[in-house]
Amino acid sequence: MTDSTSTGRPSMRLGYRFNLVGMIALGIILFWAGVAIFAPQIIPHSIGEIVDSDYFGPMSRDLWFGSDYLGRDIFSRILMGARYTLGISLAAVTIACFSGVALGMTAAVAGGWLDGMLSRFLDALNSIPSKLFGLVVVAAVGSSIPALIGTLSVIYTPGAYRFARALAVNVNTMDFIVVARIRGERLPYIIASEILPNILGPVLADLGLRFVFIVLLLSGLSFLGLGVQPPYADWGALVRENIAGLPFGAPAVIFPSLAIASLTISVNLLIDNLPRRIRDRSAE
Amino acid sequence: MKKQVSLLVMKRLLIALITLVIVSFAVFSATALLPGDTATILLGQSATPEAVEGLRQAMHLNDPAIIRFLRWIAGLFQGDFGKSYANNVPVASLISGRFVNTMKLAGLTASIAVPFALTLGITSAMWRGTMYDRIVTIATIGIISVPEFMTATLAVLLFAVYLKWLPALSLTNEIKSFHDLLRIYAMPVMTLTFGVSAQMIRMTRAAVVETLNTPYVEMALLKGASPPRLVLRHALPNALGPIVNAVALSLSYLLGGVIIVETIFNYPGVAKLMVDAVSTRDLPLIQTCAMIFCLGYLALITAADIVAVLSNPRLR
Amino acid sequence: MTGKLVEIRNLRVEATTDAGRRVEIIKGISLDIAQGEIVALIGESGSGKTTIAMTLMGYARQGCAITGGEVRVAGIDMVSLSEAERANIRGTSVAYVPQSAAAAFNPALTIMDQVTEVARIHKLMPAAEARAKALSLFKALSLPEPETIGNRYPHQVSGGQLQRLAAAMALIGQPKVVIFDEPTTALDVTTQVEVLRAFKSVTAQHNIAGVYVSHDLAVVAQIADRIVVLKDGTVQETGTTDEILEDAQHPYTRQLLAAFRPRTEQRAPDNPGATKLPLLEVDNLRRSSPCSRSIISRSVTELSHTMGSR
Repeated sequence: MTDSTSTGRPSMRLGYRFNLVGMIALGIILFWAGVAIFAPQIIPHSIGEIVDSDYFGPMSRDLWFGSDYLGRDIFSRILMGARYTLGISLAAVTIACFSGVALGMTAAVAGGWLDGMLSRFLDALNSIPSKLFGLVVVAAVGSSIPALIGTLSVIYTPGAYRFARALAVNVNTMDFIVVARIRGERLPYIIASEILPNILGPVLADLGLRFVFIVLLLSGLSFLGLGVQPPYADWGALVRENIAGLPFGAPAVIFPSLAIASLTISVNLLIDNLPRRIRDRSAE
Repeated sequence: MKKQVSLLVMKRLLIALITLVIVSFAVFSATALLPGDTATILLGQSATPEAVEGLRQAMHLNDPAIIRFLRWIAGLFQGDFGKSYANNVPVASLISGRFVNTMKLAGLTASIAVPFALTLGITSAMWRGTMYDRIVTIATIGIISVPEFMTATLAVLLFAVYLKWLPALSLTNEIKSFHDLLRIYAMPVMTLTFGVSAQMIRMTRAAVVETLNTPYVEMALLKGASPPRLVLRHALPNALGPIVNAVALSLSYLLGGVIIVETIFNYPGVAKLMVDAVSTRDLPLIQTCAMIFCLGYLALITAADIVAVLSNPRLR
Repeated sequence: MTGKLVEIRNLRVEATTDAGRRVEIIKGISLDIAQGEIVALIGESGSGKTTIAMTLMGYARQGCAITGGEVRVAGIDMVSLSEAERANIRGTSVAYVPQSAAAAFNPALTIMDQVTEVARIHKLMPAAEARAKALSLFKALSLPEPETIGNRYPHQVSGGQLQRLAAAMALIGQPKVVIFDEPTTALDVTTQVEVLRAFKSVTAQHNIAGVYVSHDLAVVAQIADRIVVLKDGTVQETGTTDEILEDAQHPYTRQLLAAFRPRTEQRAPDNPGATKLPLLEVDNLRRSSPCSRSIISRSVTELSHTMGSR
């Protein structure tokens, strides 16, 4: 089709196009990442310090989000909590997706009984509802931070595996893979240089999605008292601590939830508004 | 054709069975992995080594893992779910009443959520692109993206704290009238309904939109069919399979949501029992509750799978 | 106004690309079709032929919009009508036979149900009469087992039969114009001939005007009275079938025709200077691969072949 008049905006140098919503979402995510990294330097009050004689105090100029059930500054605790929520979730999602993608690509390319066994086993693991799985494993191995990271990774690896495998199987049937095999390329090369680049985009999108699931599950577990344990607190634990303030409508209960929501909604929006070229790179 | 259909269904059921075995093994091994010796925990630190050893023998804790697993499974089949460590009463008696409570909650939620979500899902697909559709989409994405305790706390804030229409806690013993029933169940059911409906609406809408984008619906449009006709006569018969699939999958979200809702509203159901059991490391209770949940989840997923298989018109 | 059945004047259609740019794909086309006449729209992919044909129903595919001009069918301008009014015309005055009948039939409904649907939508005749009419159309289109074929589902019927059933579906409303959108492209040559013959006889019988969209000149030569050659949304040339085939004026038309000339006329003369040495000789080629599942290694273990120069 010949272009007569082109009325579109000029694309950015990379040839990708971001829209406003995507940019805002990215901004929020980067904001929280920055907070998580620099939290100790930027919190206005120490997180253990009791600054308000009145607990569940209202929002004020000194205490931006009010005070919690002990009279501590909730704003500072939320900033600090970002480290745990983001840190644990990021670690878990990285491990889960890494393992899932590695296993998925291997299963797709190797095929045969290896594929069958892996898929059968991981599908079975997938049929355990995630909250339940989390509860059971936490009952067994406890709620230390490494244990939490491990648990969350294990829960979400099967999903990442299934997705990566489906993509890889799709790419595997394409002609250029056949050509690569005829050339005599070895299996690891085919996986790393032929298949991986073509599934990277959607896999990254899946990573984002899984990150959201993990944040939600971690917060849920902490809310039930089975996640991050005192004296540390992630956002879910903050909600749990301050739940007694609910009948009073205390801001201390709401703001940690809002923090979680801002993170998860931003990641969802970012994924939905990724430049098409990145998101849809694999063949459908 | 009938033979092919029943073969496919049998295959799905077999897969479900195998999955159940693997899952039960996973549950068993996870809970049996406890650091610290069970017998010592039960008898306390001051117990003599002989007493501990005696208890270990009596509880068959020295047998190899696979034997213990099989013994546990056999027990399940005979209805012997073990005794709770915390209360020293049979697990079955602890669970039965609470199980009924959870079923009531789930049943009420499902009966409200399913018609509600299907209506919204189908209509937003019919009128896709309109303001109505956009509002529904934003609301559902919002609900799905946030933790369940957030929807629960916001619901409590709105209805119990500001509007003061409903109580925040659930005390099922105090139901004396239908009015009481309403007030007590309303919050938990409403919170659960939001979560489940949001999933269902998105999946239903997607299924209907997918069938609306097909060449045969375009063909019907080119024959002069009106939009309602396109959706009801042409799209729905084909979307029925995916929609039932969506309903089953969304209902499986109930299993996760009920854990949070029962905790927040102090509702005496099986999920809350399980959460408490995890806090006290009460093994037999955890195992049994976990199996119940997994069974329910598997049942729903398998049903969804089978419906998806059966709804293929090529099998007629 | 020339009083023809179909009059298109200065039609403009714009498409919006994925990136959001608007591009004009039909650039001011004018076209007439008389009653009972079959006009072929030919051109390569992307020339706009299907888009133009669909404007006869006031329809533009997803992402496209009619932005100017008139499309008059029996005096009524489709462009100026509302969506509901256009729906009234579709199936009754103008009908459509799709390119892929297999995709155009709803897999969940019976064939008879769909063939008679136009009668139900527009309340043209009672159900029994519609079924009888469908039956007579099945017979006229030489379909096998006309009495029972209607009770089947689309996947139980072959491609060629489905294509003819799609024609029956289009004809049941007694339209004045039928759009044939490359309906024989998906069929093998022998079925093509059968299907074309059926179309031709039925349209002649009822004096229906036809718009035949195709890129296949061989097919068009058999069925069309007039040919309109399209490229990039503009008309390159029009004329009667004989005129175009024998005496094409426009260089683009000539190019199209050249592509369809039989191979015998195109063989290059023998080059007397060519040597007789083989160009490529392969003897006893063995290929082994570490991956035992490679399809290539299994089927080609020894290869001997000689290719000569032309």
